[in-house]
Amino acid sequence: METKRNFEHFSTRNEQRIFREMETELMGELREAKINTTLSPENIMRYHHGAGWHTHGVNEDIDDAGKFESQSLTTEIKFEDILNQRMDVSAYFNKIADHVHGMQMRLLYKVVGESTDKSGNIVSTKVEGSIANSFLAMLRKIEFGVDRNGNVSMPQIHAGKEMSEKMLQELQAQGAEFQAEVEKVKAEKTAQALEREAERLARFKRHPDE
Amino acid sequence: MNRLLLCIGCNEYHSSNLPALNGAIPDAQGIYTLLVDPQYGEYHSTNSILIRNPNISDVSAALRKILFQYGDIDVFSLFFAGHGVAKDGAYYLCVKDSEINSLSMSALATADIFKAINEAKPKQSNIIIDACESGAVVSDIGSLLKPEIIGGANTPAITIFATSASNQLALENTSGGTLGGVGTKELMSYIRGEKIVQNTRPYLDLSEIGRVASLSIENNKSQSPNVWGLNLCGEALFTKNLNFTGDTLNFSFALTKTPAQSGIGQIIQEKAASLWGVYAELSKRTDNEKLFEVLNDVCGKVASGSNYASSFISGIAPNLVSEATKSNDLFSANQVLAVCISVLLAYSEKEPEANKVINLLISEWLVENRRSFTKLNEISLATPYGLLSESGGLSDLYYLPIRISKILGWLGAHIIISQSLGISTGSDTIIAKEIIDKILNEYAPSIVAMSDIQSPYISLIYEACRRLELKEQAELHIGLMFNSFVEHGGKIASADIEAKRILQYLLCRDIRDFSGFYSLVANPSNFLSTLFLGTKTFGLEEVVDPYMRKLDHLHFNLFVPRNHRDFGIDVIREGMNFSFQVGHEIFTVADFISAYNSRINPEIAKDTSLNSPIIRAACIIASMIFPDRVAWFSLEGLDS
Repeated sequence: METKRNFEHFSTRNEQRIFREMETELMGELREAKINTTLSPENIMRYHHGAGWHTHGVNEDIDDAGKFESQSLTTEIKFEDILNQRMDVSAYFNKIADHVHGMQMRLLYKVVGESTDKSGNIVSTKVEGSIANSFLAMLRKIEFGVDRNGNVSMPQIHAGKEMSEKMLQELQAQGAEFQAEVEKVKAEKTAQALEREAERLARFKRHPDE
Repeated sequence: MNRLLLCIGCNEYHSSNLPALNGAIPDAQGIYTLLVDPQYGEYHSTNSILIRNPNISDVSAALRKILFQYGDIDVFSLFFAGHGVAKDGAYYLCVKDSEINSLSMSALATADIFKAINEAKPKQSNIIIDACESGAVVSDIGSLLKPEIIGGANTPAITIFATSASNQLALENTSGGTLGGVGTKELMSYIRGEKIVQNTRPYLDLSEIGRVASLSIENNKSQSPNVWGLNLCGEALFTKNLNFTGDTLNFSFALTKTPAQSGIGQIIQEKAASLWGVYAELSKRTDNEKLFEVLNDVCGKVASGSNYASSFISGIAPNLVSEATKSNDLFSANQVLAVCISVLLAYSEKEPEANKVINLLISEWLVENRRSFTKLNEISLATPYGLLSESGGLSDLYYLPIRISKILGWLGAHIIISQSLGISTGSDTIIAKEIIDKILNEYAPSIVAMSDIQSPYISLIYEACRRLELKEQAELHIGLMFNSFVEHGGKIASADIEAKRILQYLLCRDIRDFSGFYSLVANPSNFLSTLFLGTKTFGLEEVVDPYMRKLDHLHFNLFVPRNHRDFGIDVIREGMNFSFQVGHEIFTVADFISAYNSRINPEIAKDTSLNSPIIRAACIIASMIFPDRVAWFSLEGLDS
């Protein structure tokens, strides 16, 4: 009796290799599209080498440098799902992209968490007494940024669905006094951001034509 | 060492279709006398065989005796002078009783010689054919590459040297009173040491003799020879190198001395098919990454304190270079040598002899560079549009600027390495200046910032310009590069952009909008770091600083490996990226230089591997092959 061999039948090996390459490419594009909803694509950096990165002006010491972390994901496709034509192809890719995106976001929160733990830039609802007070305290602690076009960018809040709804309800339930205080802090922070940006730009040497 | 030689010379033929020759026997006699002489070839004087005007049965008997009666053979060389006939896709060496209408029965088919060699398994085999139509022997390369003949039959090393092309008659040289083939005369002059092949290794490889002889014979326009072969078992020992200037004791011949059937020999033999595969491609195109991958695969498996990887690279490099020289690419042989150097760099700590082999390869790399730059200067740069690719069309919008940077970068590396190793650069300096001037004059519109892979090349040309005091040329180059960089908002292509995405990159670049395609852009780039360092080197800070605001928010980077011996590895895992952003503590070139001196220089200084000039040179060469890294340590003009 002939021993079991992995026969091919009208081989499409080359075509399927190209297909797999396209799969990887598509997953990359989907993952990128998702991460772009959180981070500006212009602010995403890609390194070819090394174990980490040191950002001048951010990390004072090389020991403070960021360290690359590897992420991996295993997927399973069942023969029977293929045979029975039961695969929802777009759901399959979206699920993988969601998973990878989730891992990246968890890593992002972990890094942000470590950074705020270190700097002490933390607001606690227990200390502030309520979500609304925490929100105001957060606004007071944070510095607003200015984007490449000179526009002040408001801070983003990332929270789970339940927490988001709870926060929104409590903030909307606050009176006019609270809203006025929020607007006042925002105006102050905006002015501070623009002032810092003007100071920053003043550090460039001026071109003779300017 | 068991070195055996079979020389066959046939002047007389029974067939009226094969006219009598005069020079075949003197050639065979001459080669035999030289190669059994301990001063030259060191072949076994008793067991080696010379046969004159043989019948086919004499040749078969001689082959049988020499290949199967004297035990394991280290080096087997076969020389044939006489008529050769290509027929029905096969090639036959004709002897006295050969008949044109029954060659398979009456002549010696080269395929049968290969079969006999494959069965006897000498460690190294050399076949020299100086015959009419002998160049047609290359038609057998297809059958040689079949796994059942090469890989399956354990042929660790074989080199063929055929001195005339198909349908050509080997010229018989009557000068000096001795009759014989031009190719054989040429070969003998190298064996005798009258002409130099190289002076860095104690033995000569037939393929390197063939390559140098090819150039010489081609220059005489008399015969166009063919040479090919691949040596997988360490340094080739075809004949002594009388021009060798070093000490033979410096060479361990680690792999050459190791039996082909040993564990190491078997590991290499398992890779034979892929090695033959990349070898066969070299005459058509240079795929540096593929060649690196295959060579590194072998070295990774055999590298040890016993120097097997060094011996392997030392043995195979001359073959790869000979084959690459057949390519139309002026820089193919140089790239092959650079790949060999890059591979060995990673094993330079593990193998005591790696540095020595790297040093030899660098010497050969410099020789190849001189050849390439001379041709570039005299031919390509003297031809209008000579640097554009013939069928490139639109794609040269992208590739031409990179090609120009590569040429300048290789030139810069050549000057820097020559100087660093104390090699005279007199004529190189003149050619370098001519090339730089011609490129700046003729190709200025294409001196633009296009891709991050231009970074290592431009950093090296700036350093070379500093050393050669070509300030004006460097200033012009920096100006052109900086202007185009600013004009395109610093959005140059990423080093790892795929070929199929380049058109998209050009479209985005054209409309200055990369929305949805930011992954095509280098972020952070090495390029801006390189430009700033060049700016500082040539004192152009006052010119550049007022444009810094136009680069606001741009990220740029310098990667410093922990150990520069890793510089030839595809992805260097150990090391630090030093990232900067314009407008964030970096507002002037001086801001960056200050950070460079306080952060980067101390980090580079930590790596003691850079104390070796050989390692430094090898790193620079590796950055030519893998341009996603820059040899920052090579920039020495920042303190002036």
